[in-house]
Amino acid sequence: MAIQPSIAGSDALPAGALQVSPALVVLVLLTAIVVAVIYAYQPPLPQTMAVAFVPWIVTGAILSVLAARGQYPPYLEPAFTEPGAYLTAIFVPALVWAAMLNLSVSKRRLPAYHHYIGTMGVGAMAILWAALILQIGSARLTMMLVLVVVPVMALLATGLIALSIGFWSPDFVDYAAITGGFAVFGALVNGIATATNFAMVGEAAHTAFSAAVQDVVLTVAPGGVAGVDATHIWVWLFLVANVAIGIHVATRLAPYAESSPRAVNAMLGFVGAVGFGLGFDRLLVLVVG
Amino acid sequence: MAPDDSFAQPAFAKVFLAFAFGLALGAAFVLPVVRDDLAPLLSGGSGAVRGVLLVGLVSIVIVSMGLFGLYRISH
Repeated sequence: MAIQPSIAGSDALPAGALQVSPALVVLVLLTAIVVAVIYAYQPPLPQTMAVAFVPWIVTGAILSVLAARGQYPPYLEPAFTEPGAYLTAIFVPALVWAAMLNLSVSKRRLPAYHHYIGTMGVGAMAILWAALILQIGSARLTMMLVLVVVPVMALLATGLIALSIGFWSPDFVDYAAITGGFAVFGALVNGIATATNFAMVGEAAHTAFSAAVQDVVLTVAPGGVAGVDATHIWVWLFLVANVAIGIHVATRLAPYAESSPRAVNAMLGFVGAVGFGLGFDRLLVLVVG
Repeated sequence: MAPDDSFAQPAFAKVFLAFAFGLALGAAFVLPVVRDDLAPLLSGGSGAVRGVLLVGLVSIVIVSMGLFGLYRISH
Protein backbone atom coordinates (compact mmCIF):
# COMPACT_ATOMS: atom_id res chain seq x y z
CA MET A 1 0.00 0.00 0.00
CA ALA A 2 1.45 3.36 -1.00
CA ILE A 3 1.47 6.11 1.61
CA GLN A 4 1.26 9.63 0.29
CA PRO A 5 1.07 12.87 2.25
CA SER A 6 -1.83 15.11 1.30
CA ILE A 7 -4.27 17.62 2.70
CA ALA A 8 -7.43 15.74 3.76
CA GLY A 9 -9.97 15.60 1.01
CA SER A 10 -8.11 17.96 -1.30
CA ASP A 11 -6.71 15.76 -4.05
CA ALA A 12 -7.40 12.41 -5.63
CA LEU A 13 -5.07 9.55 -4.77
CA PRO A 14 -4.38 6.36 -6.67
CA ALA A 15 -6.42 3.34 -5.63
CA GLY A 16 -5.02 1.63 -2.56
CA ALA A 17 -3.09 4.67 -1.36
CA LEU A 18 -3.42 5.58 2.32
CA GLN A 19 -4.19 9.26 2.76
CA VAL A 20 -1.96 10.78 5.43
CA SER A 21 -2.93 14.27 6.53
CA PRO A 22 -0.67 16.52 8.65
CA ALA A 23 -3.25 16.41 11.46
CA LEU A 24 -3.03 12.62 11.49
CA VAL A 25 0.76 12.76 11.70
CA VAL A 26 0.48 15.16 14.67
CA LEU A 27 -2.01 12.80 16.33
CA VAL A 28 0.34 9.84 15.82
CA LEU A 29 3.25 11.80 17.29
CA LEU A 30 1.23 12.98 20.30
CA THR A 31 0.00 9.45 20.97
CA ALA A 32 3.54 8.09 20.67
CA ILE A 33 4.82 10.72 23.13
CA VAL A 34 2.10 9.93 25.68
CA VAL A 35 2.71 6.18 25.36
CA ALA A 36 6.46 6.79 25.77
CA VAL A 37 5.78 8.83 28.93
CA ILE A 38 3.66 6.00 30.36
CA TYR A 39 6.38 3.50 29.46
CA ALA A 40 8.98 5.65 31.18
CA TYR A 41 7.06 5.43 34.46
CA GLN A 42 7.09 1.60 34.19
CA PRO A 43 3.69 1.40 35.88
CA PRO A 44 2.21 -1.89 37.08
CA LEU A 45 -0.19 -3.23 34.48
CA PRO A 46 -3.06 -5.15 36.07
CA GLN A 47 -4.92 -7.67 33.93
CA THR A 48 -8.11 -5.62 34.17
CA MET A 49 -6.41 -2.80 32.23
CA ALA A 50 -7.32 -4.69 29.04
CA VAL A 51 -10.98 -4.59 30.05
CA ALA A 52 -10.71 -0.87 30.84
CA PHE A 53 -9.83 -0.19 27.21
CA VAL A 54 -12.83 -2.07 25.76
CA PRO A 55 -15.22 0.93 25.93
CA TRP A 56 -12.52 3.05 24.30
CA ILE A 57 -12.23 0.57 21.41
CA VAL A 58 -16.01 0.78 20.95
CA THR A 59 -15.74 4.58 21.16
CA GLY A 60 -13.16 4.58 18.36
CA ALA A 61 -15.32 2.36 16.16
CA ILE A 62 -18.44 4.50 16.63
CA LEU A 63 -16.47 7.71 16.05
CA SER A 64 -15.18 6.38 12.73
CA VAL A 65 -18.70 5.41 11.65
CA LEU A 66 -20.11 8.82 12.62
CA ALA A 67 -17.29 10.56 10.78
CA ALA A 68 -17.84 8.40 7.70
CA ARG A 69 -21.34 9.84 7.49
CA GLY A 70 -19.70 13.18 6.77
CA GLN A 71 -20.83 15.16 9.80
CA TYR A 72 -17.53 16.54 11.05
CA PRO A 73 -15.96 19.79 9.82
CA PRO A 74 -13.02 19.09 7.45
CA TYR A 75 -10.41 20.24 9.99
CA LEU A 76 -11.68 17.70 12.55
CA GLU A 77 -12.12 14.79 10.14
CA PRO A 78 -8.58 13.33 10.44
CA ALA A 79 -9.09 12.88 14.20
CA PHE A 80 -12.36 11.04 13.80
CA THR A 81 -12.05 9.00 10.60
CA GLU A 82 -10.12 5.73 10.54
CA PRO A 83 -7.38 5.31 11.67
CA GLY A 84 -7.51 8.68 13.47
CA ALA A 85 -10.63 7.69 15.43
CA TYR A 86 -8.79 4.81 17.08
CA LEU A 87 -5.77 7.01 17.77
CA THR A 88 -8.05 9.57 19.43
CA ALA A 89 -9.65 6.79 21.44
CA ILE A 90 -6.19 5.69 22.60
CA PHE A 91 -4.74 9.15 23.09
CA VAL A 92 -7.42 10.41 25.52
CA PRO A 93 -7.24 7.59 28.08
CA ALA A 94 -3.46 7.39 27.67
CA LEU A 95 -3.21 11.09 28.47
CA VAL A 96 -5.36 10.61 31.58
CA TRP A 97 -3.21 7.62 32.56
CA ALA A 98 0.01 9.60 32.13
CA ALA A 99 -1.41 12.50 34.14
CA MET A 100 -2.45 10.18 36.98
CA LEU A 101 1.00 8.59 37.03
CA ASN A 102 2.63 11.99 37.10
CA LEU A 103 0.46 13.19 39.96
CA SER A 104 1.08 10.07 42.03
CA VAL A 105 4.88 9.98 41.80
CA SER A 106 5.38 10.97 45.44
CA LYS A 107 2.51 8.88 46.76
CA ARG A 108 2.99 5.52 48.42
CA ARG A 109 0.09 3.86 46.64
CA LEU A 110 -1.02 4.30 43.04
CA PRO A 111 -4.51 5.41 42.11
CA ALA A 112 -6.55 2.60 40.55
CA TYR A 113 -6.19 4.11 37.10
CA HIS A 114 -7.73 1.10 35.39
CA HIS A 115 -10.99 1.80 37.25
CA TYR A 116 -11.01 5.46 36.30
CA ILE A 117 -10.02 4.91 32.66
CA GLY A 118 -12.63 2.18 32.23
CA THR A 119 -15.40 4.21 33.87
CA MET A 120 -14.55 7.26 31.82
CA GLY A 121 -14.69 5.13 28.69
CA VAL A 122 -18.13 3.81 29.63
CA GLY A 123 -19.36 7.41 29.95
CA ALA A 124 -17.96 8.43 26.56
CA MET A 125 -19.29 5.25 24.98
CA ALA A 126 -22.81 5.84 26.36
CA ILE A 127 -23.02 9.25 24.71
CA LEU A 128 -21.64 7.88 21.43
CA TRP A 129 -24.23 5.09 21.38
CA ALA A 130 -26.96 7.68 21.88
CA ALA A 131 -25.55 9.79 19.04
CA LEU A 132 -25.31 6.74 16.79
CA ILE A 133 -28.95 5.82 17.47
CA LEU A 134 -29.97 9.39 16.69
CA GLN A 135 -28.00 9.24 13.45
CA ILE A 136 -29.24 5.96 12.05
CA GLY A 137 -32.85 6.40 13.20
CA SER A 138 -35.29 3.67 14.11
CA ALA A 139 -34.99 1.70 10.83
CA ARG A 140 -31.87 -0.20 11.88
CA LEU A 141 -32.41 -0.35 15.62
CA THR A 142 -33.27 -4.07 15.53
CA MET A 143 -30.08 -4.83 13.60
CA MET A 144 -28.10 -3.00 16.25
CA LEU A 145 -28.91 -5.88 18.58
CA VAL A 146 -26.22 -7.77 16.65
CA LEU A 147 -23.67 -5.44 18.24
CA VAL A 148 -24.80 -6.57 21.67
CA VAL A 149 -25.61 -10.22 20.97
CA VAL A 150 -22.33 -11.12 19.23
CA PRO A 151 -20.03 -9.80 22.01
CA VAL A 152 -22.25 -11.33 24.72
CA MET A 153 -22.26 -14.73 22.97
CA ALA A 154 -18.51 -14.44 22.44
CA LEU A 155 -18.09 -13.61 26.13
CA LEU A 156 -20.06 -16.68 27.20
CA ALA A 157 -18.12 -18.89 24.79
CA THR A 158 -14.85 -17.38 26.06
CA GLY A 159 -15.84 -18.26 29.63
CA LEU A 160 -16.36 -21.88 28.68
CA ILE A 161 -13.16 -21.99 26.64
CA ALA A 162 -11.17 -20.40 29.48
CA LEU A 163 -12.54 -22.97 31.91
CA SER A 164 -11.52 -25.80 29.61
CA ILE A 165 -8.03 -24.30 29.12
CA GLY A 166 -7.64 -24.43 32.89
CA PHE A 167 -7.64 -28.23 32.76
CA TRP A 168 -4.35 -28.38 30.85
CA SER A 169 -2.75 -24.96 31.41
CA PRO A 170 -2.76 -23.97 35.09
CA ASP A 171 -0.54 -20.94 34.33
CA PHE A 172 -3.33 -19.51 32.20
CA VAL A 173 -5.74 -19.61 35.14
CA ASP A 174 -3.21 -18.49 37.73
CA TYR A 175 -1.54 -15.59 35.94
CA ALA A 176 -3.36 -14.61 32.73
CA ALA A 177 -7.00 -15.56 33.07
CA ILE A 178 -8.36 -12.10 32.22
CA THR A 179 -5.84 -10.97 29.61
CA GLY A 180 -5.64 -14.47 28.09
CA GLY A 181 -9.42 -14.67 28.06
CA PHE A 182 -9.50 -11.25 26.43
CA ALA A 183 -7.17 -12.48 23.67
CA VAL A 184 -9.48 -15.45 23.02
CA PHE A 185 -12.53 -13.15 23.18
CA GLY A 186 -10.99 -10.80 20.61
CA ALA A 187 -10.19 -13.68 18.27
CA LEU A 188 -13.72 -15.01 18.64
CA VAL A 189 -15.41 -11.65 17.95
CA ASN A 190 -13.16 -11.13 14.94
CA GLY A 191 -13.98 -14.58 13.60
CA ILE A 192 -17.74 -14.19 14.09
CA ALA A 193 -17.69 -10.72 12.53
CA THR A 194 -15.82 -11.96 9.45
CA ALA A 195 -18.17 -14.92 9.05
CA THR A 196 -21.24 -12.69 9.50
CA ASN A 197 -19.86 -10.21 7.01
CA PHE A 198 -19.29 -13.01 4.53
CA ALA A 199 -22.88 -14.22 4.97
CA MET A 200 -24.26 -10.72 4.36
CA VAL A 201 -21.85 -9.24 1.81
CA GLY A 202 -20.34 -12.28 0.10
CA GLU A 203 -16.85 -12.75 -1.29
CA ALA A 204 -15.98 -9.06 -0.85
CA ALA A 205 -15.94 -9.55 2.93
CA HIS A 206 -13.05 -12.01 2.84
CA THR A 207 -9.88 -11.37 4.81
CA ALA A 208 -6.62 -13.00 3.69
CA PHE A 209 -6.98 -15.61 6.44
CA SER A 210 -10.64 -16.44 5.75
CA ALA A 211 -9.90 -16.72 2.02
CA ALA A 212 -7.03 -19.11 2.77
CA VAL A 213 -9.24 -21.29 4.99
CA GLN A 214 -11.94 -21.33 2.32
CA ASP A 215 -9.39 -22.31 -0.35
CA VAL A 216 -8.15 -25.21 1.78
CA VAL A 217 -11.68 -26.51 2.41
CA LEU A 218 -12.73 -26.13 -1.24
CA THR A 219 -9.59 -28.01 -2.31
CA VAL A 220 -9.91 -30.84 0.20
CA ALA A 221 -13.69 -31.24 0.27
CA PRO A 222 -15.30 -29.25 -2.54
CA GLY A 223 -18.61 -31.08 -2.19
CA GLY A 224 -18.74 -30.97 1.60
CA VAL A 225 -18.50 -33.82 4.10
CA ALA A 226 -21.29 -36.06 5.46
CA GLY A 227 -24.07 -33.91 4.07
CA VAL A 228 -22.57 -30.65 5.40
CA ASP A 229 -21.79 -28.26 2.54
CA ALA A 230 -18.34 -26.74 2.05
CA THR A 231 -19.44 -23.23 3.09
CA HIS A 232 -20.58 -24.41 6.52
CA ILE A 233 -17.36 -26.37 6.95
CA TRP A 234 -15.00 -23.53 6.12
CA VAL A 235 -16.94 -21.00 8.24
CA TRP A 236 -16.80 -23.26 11.30
CA LEU A 237 -13.20 -24.18 10.56
CA PHE A 238 -12.36 -20.50 10.28
CA LEU A 239 -13.98 -19.80 13.67
CA VAL A 240 -12.16 -22.71 15.27
CA ALA A 241 -8.86 -21.60 13.69
CA ASN A 242 -9.35 -18.06 15.05
CA VAL A 243 -10.03 -19.34 18.55
CA ALA A 244 -7.12 -21.78 18.29
CA ILE A 245 -4.75 -18.91 17.49
CA GLY A 246 -6.08 -16.95 20.47
CA ILE A 247 -5.70 -19.97 22.77
CA HIS A 248 -2.22 -20.71 21.44
CA VAL A 249 -0.99 -17.17 22.02
CA ALA A 250 -2.57 -17.01 25.49
CA THR A 251 -1.28 -20.36 26.72
CA ARG A 252 2.22 -19.79 25.29
CA LEU A 253 2.58 -16.42 27.00
CA ALA A 254 0.83 -17.32 30.27
CA PRO A 255 3.84 -19.13 31.85
CA TYR A 256 5.89 -15.93 31.58
CA ALA A 257 3.22 -13.86 33.34
CA GLU A 258 4.54 -14.77 36.79
CA SER A 259 8.01 -13.32 36.12
CA SER A 260 7.04 -10.57 33.62
CA PRO A 261 3.39 -9.71 34.24
CA ARG A 262 3.60 -6.28 32.63
CA ALA A 263 4.99 -7.51 29.31
CA VAL A 264 2.62 -10.49 29.11
CA ASN A 265 -0.44 -8.45 30.07
CA ALA A 266 0.50 -5.78 27.51
CA MET A 267 0.98 -8.33 24.73
CA LEU A 268 -2.19 -10.30 25.46
CA GLY A 269 -4.15 -7.07 25.89
CA PHE A 270 -2.86 -5.84 22.54
CA VAL A 271 -3.78 -9.10 20.80
CA GLY A 272 -7.27 -9.02 22.31
CA ALA A 273 -7.75 -5.32 21.52
CA VAL A 274 -6.77 -5.77 17.86
CA GLY A 275 -9.08 -8.77 17.47
CA PHE A 276 -12.01 -7.13 19.22
CA GLY A 277 -11.42 -3.80 17.49
CA LEU A 278 -11.32 -5.30 14.00
CA GLY A 279 -14.33 -7.51 14.67
CA PHE A 280 -16.48 -4.82 16.26
CA ASP A 281 -15.61 -2.37 13.49
CA ARG A 282 -16.72 -4.89 10.86
CA LEU A 283 -19.98 -5.56 12.69
CA LEU A 284 -20.66 -1.86 13.14
CA VAL A 285 -20.09 -1.09 9.46
CA LEU A 286 -22.33 -4.01 8.54
CA VAL A 287 -25.15 -2.88 10.83
CA VAL A 288 -25.01 0.85 10.22
CA GLY A 289 -24.28 0.53 6.51
CA MET B 1 7.38 5.64 40.96
CA ALA B 2 5.60 4.70 44.12
CA PRO B 3 7.53 2.09 46.15
CA ASP B 4 4.42 0.00 46.69
CA ASP B 5 2.86 -1.24 43.48
CA SER B 6 -0.51 -1.94 45.03
CA PHE B 7 -3.40 0.30 44.11
CA ALA B 8 -5.35 2.53 46.43
CA GLN B 9 -9.02 1.68 46.80
CA PRO B 10 -10.82 3.90 44.25
CA ALA B 11 -13.11 6.44 45.88
CA PHE B 12 -16.71 6.21 44.71
CA ALA B 13 -16.93 9.98 44.21
CA LYS B 14 -13.85 9.95 42.00
CA VAL B 15 -15.17 7.05 39.94
CA PHE B 16 -18.44 8.91 39.48
CA LEU B 17 -16.49 12.01 38.50
CA ALA B 18 -14.57 9.96 35.92
CA PHE B 19 -17.89 8.77 34.50
CA ALA B 20 -19.20 12.34 34.32
CA PHE B 21 -15.96 13.39 32.63
CA GLY B 22 -16.45 10.58 30.13
CA LEU B 23 -20.00 11.76 29.42
CA ALA B 24 -18.74 15.31 28.85
CA LEU B 25 -15.95 14.03 26.60
CA GLY B 26 -18.39 11.92 24.60
CA ALA B 27 -20.69 14.92 24.25
CA ALA B 28 -17.79 17.02 22.99
CA PHE B 29 -16.93 14.31 20.45
CA VAL B 30 -20.43 14.05 19.03
CA LEU B 31 -21.57 17.66 19.26
CA PRO B 32 -20.72 18.43 15.61
CA VAL B 33 -22.69 15.33 14.58
CA VAL B 34 -25.85 15.78 16.65
CA ARG B 35 -26.02 19.59 16.50
CA ASP B 36 -28.53 19.47 13.65
CA ASP B 37 -30.64 16.87 15.47
CA LEU B 38 -30.62 18.90 18.67
CA ALA B 39 -31.57 22.16 16.97
CA PRO B 40 -35.29 21.30 16.65
CA LEU B 41 -35.39 20.34 20.32
CA LEU B 42 -33.72 23.52 21.45
CA SER B 43 -36.20 25.56 19.42
CA GLY B 44 -39.09 23.67 21.01
CA GLY B 45 -39.45 21.45 17.93
CA SER B 46 -41.11 18.14 17.17
CA GLY B 47 -42.32 15.74 19.82
CA ALA B 48 -40.75 12.73 18.06
CA VAL B 49 -37.22 14.08 18.33
CA ARG B 50 -37.83 15.15 21.90
CA GLY B 51 -39.19 11.66 22.69
CA VAL B 52 -36.14 9.90 21.25
CA LEU B 53 -33.79 12.19 23.15
CA LEU B 54 -35.67 11.73 26.41
CA VAL B 55 -35.67 7.94 26.00
CA GLY B 56 -31.93 8.09 25.30
CA LEU B 57 -31.24 10.24 28.35
CA VAL B 58 -33.41 8.08 30.63
CA SER B 59 -31.67 4.95 29.26
CA ILE B 60 -28.25 6.42 30.00
CA VAL B 61 -29.35 7.36 33.54
CA ILE B 62 -30.84 3.90 34.23
CA VAL B 63 -27.85 1.99 32.83
CA SER B 64 -25.43 4.29 34.69
CA MET B 65 -27.25 3.81 37.99
CA GLY B 66 -27.24 0.05 37.44
CA LEU B 67 -23.52 0.02 36.71
CA PHE B 68 -22.73 2.11 39.76
CA GLY B 69 -25.00 -0.04 41.89
CA LEU B 70 -23.04 -3.10 40.80
CA TYR B 71 -19.80 -1.25 41.44
CA ARG B 72 -20.87 -0.32 44.99
CA ILE B 73 -21.92 -3.92 45.70
CA SER B 74 -18.65 -5.35 44.40
CA HIS B 75 -16.50 -2.90 46.39
